[in-house]
Amino acid sequence: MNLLPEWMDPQRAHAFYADALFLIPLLPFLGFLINALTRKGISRGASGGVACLAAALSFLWTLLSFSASAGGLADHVRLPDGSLCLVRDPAHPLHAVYGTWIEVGAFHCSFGLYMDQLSGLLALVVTGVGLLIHIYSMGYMGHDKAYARYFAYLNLFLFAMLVLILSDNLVLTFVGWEGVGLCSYLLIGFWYEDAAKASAGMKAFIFNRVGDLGFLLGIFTLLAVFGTVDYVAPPRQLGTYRAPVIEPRLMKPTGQGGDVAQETLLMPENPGLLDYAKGLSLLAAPKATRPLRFSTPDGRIDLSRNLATRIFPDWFTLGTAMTLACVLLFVGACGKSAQLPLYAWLPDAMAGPTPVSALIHAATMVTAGVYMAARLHPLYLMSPEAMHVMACVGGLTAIFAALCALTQTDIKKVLAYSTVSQLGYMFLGAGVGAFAFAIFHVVTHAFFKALLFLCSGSVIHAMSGEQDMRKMGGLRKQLPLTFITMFIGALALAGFPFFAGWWSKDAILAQVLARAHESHESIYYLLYVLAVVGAFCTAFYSFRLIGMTFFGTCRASAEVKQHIHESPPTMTTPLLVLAFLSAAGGVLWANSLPTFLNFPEPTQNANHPQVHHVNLVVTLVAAFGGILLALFLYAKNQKVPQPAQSKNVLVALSWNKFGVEAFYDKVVTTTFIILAEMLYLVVDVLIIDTLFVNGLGFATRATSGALRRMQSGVVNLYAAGILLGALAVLFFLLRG
Amino acid sequence: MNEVHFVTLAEADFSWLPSLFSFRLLSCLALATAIFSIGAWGVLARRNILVMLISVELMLNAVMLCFVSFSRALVNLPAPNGNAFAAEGGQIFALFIIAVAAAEAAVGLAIVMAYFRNRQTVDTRDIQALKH
Repeated sequence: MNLLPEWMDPQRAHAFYADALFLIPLLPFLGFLINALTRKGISRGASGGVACLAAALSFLWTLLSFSASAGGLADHVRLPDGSLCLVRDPAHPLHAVYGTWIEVGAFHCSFGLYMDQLSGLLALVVTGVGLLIHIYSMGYMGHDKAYARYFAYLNLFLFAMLVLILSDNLVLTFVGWEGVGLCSYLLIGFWYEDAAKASAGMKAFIFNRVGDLGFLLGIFTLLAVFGTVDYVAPPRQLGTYRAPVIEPRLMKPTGQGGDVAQETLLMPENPGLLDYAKGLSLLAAPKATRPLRFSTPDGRIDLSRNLATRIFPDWFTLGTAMTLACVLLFVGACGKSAQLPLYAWLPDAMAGPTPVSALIHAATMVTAGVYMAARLHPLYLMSPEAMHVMACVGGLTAIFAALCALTQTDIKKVLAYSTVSQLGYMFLGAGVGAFAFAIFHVVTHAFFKALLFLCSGSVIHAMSGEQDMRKMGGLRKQLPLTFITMFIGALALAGFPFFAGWWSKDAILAQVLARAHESHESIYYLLYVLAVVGAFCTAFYSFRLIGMTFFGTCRASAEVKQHIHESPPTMTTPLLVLAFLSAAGGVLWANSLPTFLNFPEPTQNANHPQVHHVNLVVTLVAAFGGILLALFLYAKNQKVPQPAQSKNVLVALSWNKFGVEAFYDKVVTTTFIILAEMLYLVVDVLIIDTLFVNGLGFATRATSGALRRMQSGVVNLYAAGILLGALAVLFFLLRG
Repeated sequence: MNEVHFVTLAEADFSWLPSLFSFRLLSCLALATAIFSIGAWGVLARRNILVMLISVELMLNAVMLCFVSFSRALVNLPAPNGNAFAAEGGQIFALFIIAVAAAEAAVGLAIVMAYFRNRQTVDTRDIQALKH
């Protein structure tokens, strides 16, 4: 893909697009400023228009920059023997550093943007899907009174998300990370007059705080080990060599026969985290046992210079440090991407407007954790333990959320649990090393889940705000376009062959099975089984949703029935575009994406074609079984479930989310309140109020009561005091 | 390159110091001490603000006398370490003190007058409104 005009010199175009990367996040930010500053003084059309224009321009610019970064660029590379070699780089990242942000001691952090295949692809998804959802919002939010505020938040979200994706260091990524959290909070609580919705926003914020603490500690650990937070070395002029390579050097040790090959690691100046990881992976010694105190023979890379040796003891190896850092960062990802211990905020986040659920809580923000793992995958590859943790958490979340989704009656809640479950699949894929397929699933999931949410928004719009599927039914006649597009989305989610979701999910499951087959570890076989059961559940609940909503007879009240209408074109056009992408998005990239992303091949599964065949059969059986069973139960026989009153233990378990939320409510919240009450009594009442505030007042009054006797009112005594003081000063001066 | 050479106290030549204390300087200083002591006693012991002000003037004059006598004594001195004493400094200070003393007397008397008009007293034992 190369959209650059023929006459443009590729090198100059490359430099130009690198320098102009800042436009991508800046344009939505300008849109935010315009909408935020002229909140009352701008017409509805202008407000939505500005926001859509900002998103559209940002998307266009991303497309151009992406084509420049991925377009292939001839570059001179200096080989280890010193000769220059012209290499046609399949992809050349755009990297621009705009200035220094923090400079303290050896710590350096800059404002820099970096677009390689990974961040470029995700920036395209964010701006592209974001643009469609902006357009959809103009129709969906048409009747809302806080129209400009809504679009201001939406643009601010795009800005923060693009900063997160495009930044060239972890600290700036963290700024975007927090920024999207803020926008998520603002948009979940968008209708803040409703106390339940406002508190859902707070719940999301607090759950994310827990994760963010882990993320911060992970950054600190990486900083302590490597002394840098940059992903890669700062950009240089073209033609200079930058990636770390091993230079084999022949040395003849004295007293021994034969040559001993000794390796020298050549690193770029000011290497980034990924450079270190890449360089260390090139070195031969087993990484997990390598102590932190080491350097290469010629001392070019010397970790002992860094803070690590001062902070960590000798037994703290590089492998331990990587495990610590990666697990901590994964805790952050768990918060942002709603993984198992910290998932509970996402279903509640459905309190926000439906386009927000589509954009933030399905397509983009919640995948930030997967992006982070893929961005830092060379570090994760250095820590098998962290990968185990990631795979297990992802697999458990995938099955757990899929089971929860089975009994939901709120149309958006089904999709919310489905999102949690699909995010679990992504982490499962990343955990077995298939980072490219995890990112592939991020992309296809962004298409079909945004589509499903927007369709559910269209349904809710038609049903005058009703979200309970038990009061829907038979809508396929009145909402034909919504029905067709949502059916396509459900097929993609369920893993129907040749739809987008099938390609990515099938690839992830195949990788899990290949990993199990290779390592013979039972945990991976278990994870595979769980993932397949989860896939069956996915197919079931997505067609349960379709059946309850679009088939049978309409169960709505007569008043609602009268208002049912197909949505306006601003809403249906994005549906059609996303439906096309959900249907065809997988075919486009199924084979090219891993090589395009240039990630390492996770397993040697090319040697096991039978793994792929087994997986293909199993996933197809799961998908078709789920779809047919759901259609039989909910489209043909029209059962209206009442999960809250159900006597069935399994239904009750699923409806009550296996007691996790009750556990949070009862145990965690209560513990927290008791702790806060104790702290209030001890710290606030006892220490601050009694000891500091009142104690200070009492001490002042007691001292002053004694000292005020000195103010006798006898002027002569004061004069005597002055004289004595002068004498004392004189005495000390002369004595000196 | 002009280098400033600092002489430590141990190295310094103080042989000129005794000659400073000639009989005339000593008697002047003795007089100044006496006047200062009388003034100090007046400020501390008398209760009448007017008298206290006069005593303050006495103390100021004693200090002034010290300044001019040192100034006079230093005029004929050899300049040690190449530094010349600013003998005129003492006289200039005396002039300053005269000016300041005049201003101080004017302000002080004005306050005493204003206070007397209000309270009909200048005795410090009765002026204790700001007592604790």
